[in-house]
Amino acid sequence: MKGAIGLFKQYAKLKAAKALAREERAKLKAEQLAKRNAAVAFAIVLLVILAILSKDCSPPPTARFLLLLIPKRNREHLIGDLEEEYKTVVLPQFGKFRAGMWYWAQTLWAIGPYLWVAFKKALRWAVIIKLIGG
Amino acid sequence: MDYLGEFEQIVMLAILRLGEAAYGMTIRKEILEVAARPASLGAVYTTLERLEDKGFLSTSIGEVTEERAGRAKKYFRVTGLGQSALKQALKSTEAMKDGLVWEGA
Repeated sequence: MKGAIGLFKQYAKLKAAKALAREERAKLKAEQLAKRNAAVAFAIVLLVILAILSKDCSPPPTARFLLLLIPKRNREHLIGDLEEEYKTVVLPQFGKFRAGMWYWAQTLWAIGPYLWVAFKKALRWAVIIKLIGG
Repeated sequence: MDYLGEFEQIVMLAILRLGEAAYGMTIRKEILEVAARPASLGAVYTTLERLEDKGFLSTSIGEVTEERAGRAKKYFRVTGLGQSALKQALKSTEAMKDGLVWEGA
């Protein structure tokens, strides 16, 4: 009987130690995550500050890259129009930061209708294939 | 004959108003200033492509300027077919409006 109680106590101790270790591990993980999030937030703030302070007034390169999604037919003309409005109207009127935001918004609005048209075409083909295939 | 949608009519009217200077940026600006309707360049260009495919618009490639980073302008003009389609669409709208009594006007 004594042996069984001792075994039970040992088991309970082991379980408590395991729970403690798990708790500590979770705490450590949370601390690491918080540190990583702080580092990411700091990097983003730094990038935004650098972008604002930068003397380079060209449109955001990532937005420019996204514009490559526009079909070739009018891509060059559309990007040219966007660049012209950015450099001649928006940048002198609103400054680099707001002009960058404007360029981003225009980029997303510009690729939106093309993506929608592509989606509708794909959907139409899917329906036709489904009808043919039964 | 192809039916003209409301935004297509607005785009064609903007091109007619602009005359020789009708290209993407100016068309968008004209729609914003005259019709007080904000339209994205993407929406304007998809409409222009549709109208061009229907034969309502003709295009010509323009000059390259420094502000456009070496990209050429694409000028648009309304063709004869486009003008008659637009006239017909506007006439239909006028006819539908005729005799209507507006509440609260």
